[in-house]
Amino acid sequence: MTLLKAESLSIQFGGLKAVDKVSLEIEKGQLFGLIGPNGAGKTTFFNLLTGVYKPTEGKLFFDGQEITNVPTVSRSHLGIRRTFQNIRLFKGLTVLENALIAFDQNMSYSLFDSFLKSSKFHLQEKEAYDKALKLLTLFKLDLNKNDKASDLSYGAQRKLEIIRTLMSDPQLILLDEPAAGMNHSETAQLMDLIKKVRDDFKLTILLIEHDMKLVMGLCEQIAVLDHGNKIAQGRPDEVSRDPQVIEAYLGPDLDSGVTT
Amino acid sequence: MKNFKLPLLTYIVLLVLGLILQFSFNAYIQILILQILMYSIASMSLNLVNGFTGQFSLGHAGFMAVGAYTSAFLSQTFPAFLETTHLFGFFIFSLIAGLIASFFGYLVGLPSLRLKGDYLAIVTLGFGEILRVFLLNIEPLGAARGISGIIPYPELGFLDRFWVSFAYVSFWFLVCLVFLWRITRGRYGRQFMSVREDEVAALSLGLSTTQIKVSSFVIASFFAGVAGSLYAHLISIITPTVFGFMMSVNIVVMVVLGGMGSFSGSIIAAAFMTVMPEVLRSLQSVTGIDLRMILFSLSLILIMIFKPHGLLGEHELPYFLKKMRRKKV
Repeated sequence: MTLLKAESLSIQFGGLKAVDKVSLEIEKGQLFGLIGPNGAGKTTFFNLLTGVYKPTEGKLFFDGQEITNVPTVSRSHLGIRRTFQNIRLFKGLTVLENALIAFDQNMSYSLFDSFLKSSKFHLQEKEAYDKALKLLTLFKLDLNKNDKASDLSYGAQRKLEIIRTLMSDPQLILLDEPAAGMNHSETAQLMDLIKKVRDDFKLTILLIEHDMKLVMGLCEQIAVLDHGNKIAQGRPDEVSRDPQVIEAYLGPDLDSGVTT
Repeated sequence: MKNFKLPLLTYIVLLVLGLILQFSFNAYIQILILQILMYSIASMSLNLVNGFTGQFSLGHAGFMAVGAYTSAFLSQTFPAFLETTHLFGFFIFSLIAGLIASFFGYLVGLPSLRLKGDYLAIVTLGFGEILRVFLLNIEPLGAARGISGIIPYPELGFLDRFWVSFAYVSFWFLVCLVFLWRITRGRYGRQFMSVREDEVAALSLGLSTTQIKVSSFVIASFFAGVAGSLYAHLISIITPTVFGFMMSVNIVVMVVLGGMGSFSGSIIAAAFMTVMPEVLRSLQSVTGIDLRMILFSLSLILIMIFKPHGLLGEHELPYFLKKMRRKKV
């Protein structure tokens, strides 16, 4: 079953077609990778999916529902959550608070419930706390729950960002270059983590990355962008053998025998 | 009711304290005490906007003016109502003052909270000034003369005017403190702080940042309006110039001095800012020259050098009490 479907999605900035008629279908439960060399339009495409940009052409469907014009805020309510390439945690707040905020859309008590400390207030706060603690424990961050988010190590901050996406039981999470700035062992840990998250939470994950190793080892389906166009899609082994992909990454094949 | 045990107990203690104050201090000190409570309400509510939500507003005195004029105008128009209902009438007037101020807060906040930092400060500053000039020119509201002879709080038997005023003002003080304290310790507090920390991230988590900012602004304006209403009946005379730029700045200084995000800090700072100039006034008779404002400003500068995050930083008083107790053990 298709969860996310892009139909010839395009966006034009002045004379530049940053994303040109890209169509994609992501199946439920898939780990989908979107790769491409620098300037291929990955991040722009990502911003179209999250609603930061409005496409100039094309349509976007989520779970059978058109969401082309749904603003960013509401996409989270539909079950799409994202992380940021340059980690955006609430740095001055504690690890626990960071997780709790992400549960807010599941809470409904009013200002006056808060003032009166009604049973609804206690019930929902406890629910949020339990959920946050469960996730923090799962990711081994429970001992740091009262630390400031900015005091966490780089890898732990990434983890916390992923926890934040998971708090509201999303259907699809979009990871924007999760391995950016990580060393090899950290990247390897992250790969395990992403896989575990997908399996444990039965999620669909789209990740954008230019670390080929991460994507090849992790994703079941890969699409390759170059100059705003989708030039290939398929399983990792298919994609890595695709001559167009090789050309995009390594330049034109001048003397044969160049492989990745 | 069981959730209000502590506030109620505190109120009873305050009422008894009021009795002690009534018999042990002169009118000059008594009015200072009432002013401290009134300014605490103003600075705590501004702390919600400036400290918790991270939006720099410089127009708080404008909302106080709205509340003060509303309450004063109502009491001049319906004096009979106040006479028959006693404090309840004042309560209704304060409530209306707060609601009208929060309506103004909504009108100002909705368009201007899209701006950030300095720009928001300029717009809110502009609001305060526009309101001041507007009031200066409205004849039914006294124009430049303002409104004088505003009905003060009544006496009740052997309880004099001070005690009744104290009881009434500290009631609002507690309502404001408990309300702000509790809403900032739950989902709404987290919403406000998430806007302060990172708006883009907040949006991605499905939080409507505009709505959050506006509601923080509206709540703050409500209490500013209430504080204005208290001011009107305590001082008995209001003019447009009282609620000018300087008062807004004073309240911002209270928030920064006490610590952004610390309500108890705001209260301490409000007390400091009210008492300090008066204490220094007596110095004048000794030295013969008016060093008051120089020393006052100097003390503010020194505090900001040694305590750049304000007296209490972002923590509340209980945090420090706990810390001290731990040190002793």
